[in-house]
Amino acid sequence: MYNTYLTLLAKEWIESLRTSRLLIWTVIGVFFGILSPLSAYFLPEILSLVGATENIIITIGSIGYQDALKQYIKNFTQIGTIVVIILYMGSIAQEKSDGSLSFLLVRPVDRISILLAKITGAKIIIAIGQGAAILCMTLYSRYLFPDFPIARFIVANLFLFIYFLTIAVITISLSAMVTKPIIAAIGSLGFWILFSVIAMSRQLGNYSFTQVSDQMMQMTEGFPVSYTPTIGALVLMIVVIGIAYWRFSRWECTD
Amino acid sequence: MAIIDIHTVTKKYASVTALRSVSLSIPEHTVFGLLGPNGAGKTTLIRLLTNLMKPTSGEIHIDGNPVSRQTAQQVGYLAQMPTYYRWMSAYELLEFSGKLYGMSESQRKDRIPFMLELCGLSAATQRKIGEFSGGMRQRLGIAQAILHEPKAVFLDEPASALDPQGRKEVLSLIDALRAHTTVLMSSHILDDVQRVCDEVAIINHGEIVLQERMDTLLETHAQSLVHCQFASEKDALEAAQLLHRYDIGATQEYEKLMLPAALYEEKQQEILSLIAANQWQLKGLSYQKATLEDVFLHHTQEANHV
Repeated sequence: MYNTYLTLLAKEWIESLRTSRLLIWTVIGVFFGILSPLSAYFLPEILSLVGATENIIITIGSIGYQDALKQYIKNFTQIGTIVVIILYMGSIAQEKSDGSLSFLLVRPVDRISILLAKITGAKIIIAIGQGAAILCMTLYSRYLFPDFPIARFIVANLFLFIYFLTIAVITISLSAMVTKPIIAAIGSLGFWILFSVIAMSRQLGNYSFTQVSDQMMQMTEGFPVSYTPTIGALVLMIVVIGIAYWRFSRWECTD
Repeated sequence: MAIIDIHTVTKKYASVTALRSVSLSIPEHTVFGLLGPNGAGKTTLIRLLTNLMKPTSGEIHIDGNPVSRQTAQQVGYLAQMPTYYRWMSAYELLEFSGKLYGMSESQRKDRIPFMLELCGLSAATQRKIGEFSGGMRQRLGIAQAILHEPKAVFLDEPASALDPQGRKEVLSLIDALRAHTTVLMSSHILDDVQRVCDEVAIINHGEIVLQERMDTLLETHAQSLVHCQFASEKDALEAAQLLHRYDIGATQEYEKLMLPAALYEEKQQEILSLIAANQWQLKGLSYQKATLEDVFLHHTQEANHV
């Protein structure tokens, strides 16, 4: 089983390279890693230019690394979520509909290996793209904001990694349960919206994985961190994978 | 000894019964043809054999073991419309397949070039599958199905989407497989089945209506015909009417009269005397050998009437 899993994982890796999945995610990471500190740093000048054309004076307080961090978290989580959903919506559903999944299933391959290899593949791709984002963000922020806390920022990115991983797990799991990639994408987006709404609730909100971005902010700024969103994300991933496996193991090739 | 044993298998979808109590037994080293019109249940049966589906009831054994993930090791499969990873090369696909079947590196190194050569793909080993023609994909499909030397290979309409040249190549390949493995191929192209299969089953509306060795089938179920070509349609019609009075069943079609060959041989003197006595102009006699098409149409149409 382990050898099968490794073979499938290797296939996922090569597929990510050949289909540009890794490239797209890394470009997104690099883009936000560079854009966030730059846009924060130059925000006063951008606003004064806008004010000059409109004949108004815009004044804002001093700009610090916290502003770069806010931009990074906000932009990366919003656009990144959509990108992760698009990258992984067809991971299993597409293979079901085009028939390539049958190629695997007629071999001595257990379905849990297929599902876990997809998730591990996503984990690696997300980590690499996020690594590129961390590198760019660190280099630019350190240069523009000398007090930028590098170590805390790197550790805090673990929360963001868990956030993206949760999105990927939900998307891949839905992809294993349905036969059309678009349904997996809509379902995943629905989950995201649902948990964003739940995050507003006082009691349950602390367990919503969408709150992980707050944890990241708190940790980078050196405040004590509540781990309940991370626990919520891990529980959610386990439950979703379990349901996906249950459904996927009963799937029959009927097309 | 039967390598594939299907015992009273029924498969139901939501409201449709795709297979009804199907039983089949397929001996080793046979090329077995599963013949049936579109929607007869051929693909469903093959999917049950490859564990892509579970039967609603009944049992399927391959080499004595019930179909499961474990029996997948003994089985090779070519889908009707094979789809592989477009970004892989032919060599990479076989390498990937070999690893999933647990073949060692040395086995893969020996076997993959051999399979590519056998299937006429040695010039395209590094080409991406996305660039392959339909015929190349089909040949690659056969290569991946037999790479691990399975005991049984299931080919779902292996030649139906190919041009005449591609069909010829694929059928020759299937013919050559007989020595190494057992092949079950589904088809609705009767010529293909008649050309390569040793044994055949006809499936219609999810039921096996006939299973027989090809030679026996043609001998016992198909009727060879004698065609009598007359000078005019009038002569042919009158001859048919008169022969009926003598209990000689004949079918008239324009200037032609068709009689079962066995009947003609038995009553040859009588028939020719009647023709001569009535001065009907007989232009020629020809013999039409029984074909699988006759058997197929007879059995599928009979079932449709029922």
